[in-house]
Amino acid sequence: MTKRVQRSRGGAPARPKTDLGKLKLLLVGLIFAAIWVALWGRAAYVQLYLGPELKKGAEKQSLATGFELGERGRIYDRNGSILATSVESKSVYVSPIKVDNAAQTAQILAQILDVPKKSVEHDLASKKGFVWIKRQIGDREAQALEAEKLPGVFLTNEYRRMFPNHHSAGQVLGFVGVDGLGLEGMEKRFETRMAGRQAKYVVQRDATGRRLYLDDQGREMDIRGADVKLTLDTVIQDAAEQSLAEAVTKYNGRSGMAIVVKVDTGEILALAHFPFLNPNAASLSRPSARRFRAALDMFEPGSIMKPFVFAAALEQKVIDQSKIFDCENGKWVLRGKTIRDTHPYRWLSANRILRYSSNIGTAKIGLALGAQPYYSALRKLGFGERSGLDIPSESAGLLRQPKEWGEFDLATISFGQGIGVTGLQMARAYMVLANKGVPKPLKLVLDPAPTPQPPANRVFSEQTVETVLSMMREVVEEDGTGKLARIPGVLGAGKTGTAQKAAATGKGYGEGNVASFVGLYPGDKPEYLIMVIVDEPSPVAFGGIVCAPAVRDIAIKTLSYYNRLPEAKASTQPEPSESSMQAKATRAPSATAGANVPDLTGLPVRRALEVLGKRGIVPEIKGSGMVISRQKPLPGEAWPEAKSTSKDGGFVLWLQEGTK
Amino acid sequence: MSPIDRRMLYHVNWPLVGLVATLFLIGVLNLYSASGVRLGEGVSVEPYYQKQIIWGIIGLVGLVAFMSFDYRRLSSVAWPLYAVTLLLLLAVPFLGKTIYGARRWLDFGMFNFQPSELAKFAMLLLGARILSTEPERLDLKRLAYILGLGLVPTLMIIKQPDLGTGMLVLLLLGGLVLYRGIQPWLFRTLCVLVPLLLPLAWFGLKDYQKRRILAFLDPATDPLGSGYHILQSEIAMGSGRIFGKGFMAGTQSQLRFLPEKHTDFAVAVLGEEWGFFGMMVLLSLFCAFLYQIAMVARDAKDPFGSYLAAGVFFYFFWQVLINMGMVLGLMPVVGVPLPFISYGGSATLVNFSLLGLVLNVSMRRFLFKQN
Repeated sequence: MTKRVQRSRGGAPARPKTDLGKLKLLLVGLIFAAIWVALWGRAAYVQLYLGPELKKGAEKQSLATGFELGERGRIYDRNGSILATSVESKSVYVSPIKVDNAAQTAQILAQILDVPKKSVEHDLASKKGFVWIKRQIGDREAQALEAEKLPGVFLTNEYRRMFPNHHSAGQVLGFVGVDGLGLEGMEKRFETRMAGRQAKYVVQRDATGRRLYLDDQGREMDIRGADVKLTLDTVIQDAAEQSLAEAVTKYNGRSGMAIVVKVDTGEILALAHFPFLNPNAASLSRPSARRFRAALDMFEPGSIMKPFVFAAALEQKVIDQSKIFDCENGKWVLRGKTIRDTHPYRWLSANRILRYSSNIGTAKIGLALGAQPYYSALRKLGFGERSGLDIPSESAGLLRQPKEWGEFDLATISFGQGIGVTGLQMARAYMVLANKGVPKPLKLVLDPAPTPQPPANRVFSEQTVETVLSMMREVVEEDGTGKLARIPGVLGAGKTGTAQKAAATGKGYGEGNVASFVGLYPGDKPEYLIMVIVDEPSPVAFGGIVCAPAVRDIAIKTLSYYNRLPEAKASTQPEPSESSMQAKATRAPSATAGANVPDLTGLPVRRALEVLGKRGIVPEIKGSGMVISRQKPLPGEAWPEAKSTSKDGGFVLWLQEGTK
Repeated sequence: MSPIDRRMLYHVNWPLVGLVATLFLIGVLNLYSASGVRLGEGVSVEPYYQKQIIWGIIGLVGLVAFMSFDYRRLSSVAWPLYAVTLLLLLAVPFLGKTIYGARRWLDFGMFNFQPSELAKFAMLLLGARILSTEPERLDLKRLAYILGLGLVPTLMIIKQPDLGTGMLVLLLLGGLVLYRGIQPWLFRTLCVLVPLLLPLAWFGLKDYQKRRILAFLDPATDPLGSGYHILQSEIAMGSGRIFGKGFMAGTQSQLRFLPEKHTDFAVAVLGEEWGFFGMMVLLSLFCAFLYQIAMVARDAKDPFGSYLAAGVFFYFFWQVLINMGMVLGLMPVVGVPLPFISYGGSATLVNFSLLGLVLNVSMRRFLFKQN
């Protein structure tokens, strides 16, 4: 060993130290130093000089601004039942550049989401960074998609609007578009109130784009939209819709509406439109079915206008109720045009003119009153202006200035032709009669409370109103046009209307009619105002036949629900076992009562409705009378679904006159 | 000659041991942070640092083993080892195991073995043995002979493909050649010729290697592809700025923007979390570390020992230079880890073993005087 070392040492040049001169050593040292300085310098350049810029680059990569949309506020009925709510649902979007295998991804997406493969392929070929594939998918679809773990395909939370009562009050509630924006009805009216606010916050994201919520900053903020509470009552609404649907279908009407108003507060308890709109699937319905027609569409009201000309004339003391007019045997030529009555009469006192709804008699009263006083009464009643409910694109109706009225115009406007009104306007005008001559604003919304309006000036004296109401009672209770609206035991007051519709040609009147009936119950001290209007019924078009029974049905259900239906005088039946049920009928269904349907036959309507009300059931009522003659389901059968008001699953009661 | 006696322990180069221990400790701490992954609930740490500690212990055994015999004996195994290495490298294409698309490993049942790691030893020993006995500065013939010996295993390694290790083997030999010295006229000629011939190497590169070089020249051309590593590395380093974001607070690494964060780009994590300050400390430590090895080479009592130490010096020097240059965006992306900082089992073992060799040379420097 030593030897070898010696030998190699002997070869002096093998020692590098001696090989390199001192200068060279220094040079080599300098080169290494220079390399090190270069590394240092580069680190300084990157970290100190480029640092601030690169830090921004890092934040751009790792921080993202997240958005969260708050839940949209709910809509409740007056009792707190949910009419519209939002549920979280998933929506699918893709980021095409992050998709690995477009063909396969399209295949899977099309299969799971049931969308055309072509359109998905088109979306995946897009150059955009974000493309919606399908919004608001079901839970099962979302799960299936999550399991696939497709790169570039993402799920995000959105809210879907749900209307748990399906078509109930559909047009009033309106609906929202897929972006969550209220498009019609209350959804549009209270868009700013109910819309969830958007919260913005910073999230971290990793290289795969996954978002990490490391802080809750901004997420605690209350971004939920505010709720809205309507005056509607789902029970009354259901009742109104059911009766309205029957009336329209039975008489082949094009459409119809029904309004129930609580007189003491002006609150609208039901506002129904037929054909129904299911706002859960608004896009599937015809545009005409989506309209809030009671506010948006005006029509020529016909005879239901008559009470107002009577009231104005009485107020002006132009007539009294026994004043006699010549009804020209049903045919009167005025200024070269003919006015006709359905039934020819000769001499009629004022009250009978209303009872039999004579156009000629009413025209003469209107002419006696004069254009200006009539016009000013109509304005005070609210015609020619919006109802004050702030419904989006509401119509103000059509009421021309009196100076444009000729004598014939005055005559026809007196019986409700040549004037355009909306359903809500008509209800509001009748509220004046129901409220002893003082206007009472209609209310559709409890919360937010409507801005209080200054008390309105009296339009008619109490005396005048009482006189008109007595005439209207005759319409129902005597041999008037509205006797089908009679409810034994409850005084009714009302007025029929059978208006001619302007011809589609725009000139003159065509074949179509608008049938209507307004009922006030009780007729001496009105508590509920109920109006049903059916467009173009056939073959019968009389409001007293088409609409009056529907008003009566709604009235019975409403009065019984509010425990205002007196027991039939005829009822001498012993009280049923559930006789102790004096409590007000409520909707709350309870499972505590008997498991099976009790025998209701022979009971007065009111009792039966109370028993069923305890179970949350609003029965369908058929026939007329005060006592239950038949029932479905039969006694002893199982209770039907509480909520069901559909034809097959519902509870049906057949009535007959009380056994005297 | 007893393997180790007290006098030798006394002469152990403790400053070098201390420096290596410090670097290794920094490496483990940095790995702990680098393997942190930020998920929704917080940060979870993958157990790379534990494995690195285990490899460190194994490396320590290797270090002691390589100190425990007289290094001069290695001179006689240089040629056989070189032959065995060539055989094993030859076997790799036929019997090797493919991992991550590269066929580098031989499966020995218990463990996978990379013959390219062995090539580093073989090249070091053979280079030291031949060059330490060269009587003159190298002329063209000798240079060709030596480089030819180096090119055989290098090309075999590059074919695997493993450009990083192959280059390292050749660079190690190149360093030794320069340490020996070449004829001045030859040196000058090469200074002119090599830069001229280097572009020809372009045609020998694989596509991904070409892309890396292009990306190095302009990372922005393909920020999500080849340029991604460089851009992300610079962003991570740069966003650390002066004092860094703090231990375990590097968002770029924890959010997985930084690729290869425990291996080749581990130092970028350090740069992000400890900033320019941390980089200064690390570079200074490496500087001192390399200086210590250089001093061992200078003070070695025989040429073979001196060349061994010099070879190890170049081995570490090139790695630090290439890795740092890559991470700092001065060089194209080449898979060269940073010694003691990057995670890597066999690399840690080799590093410690080579260091054992240096310590071996260092502590026996007084031995021969007394003989």
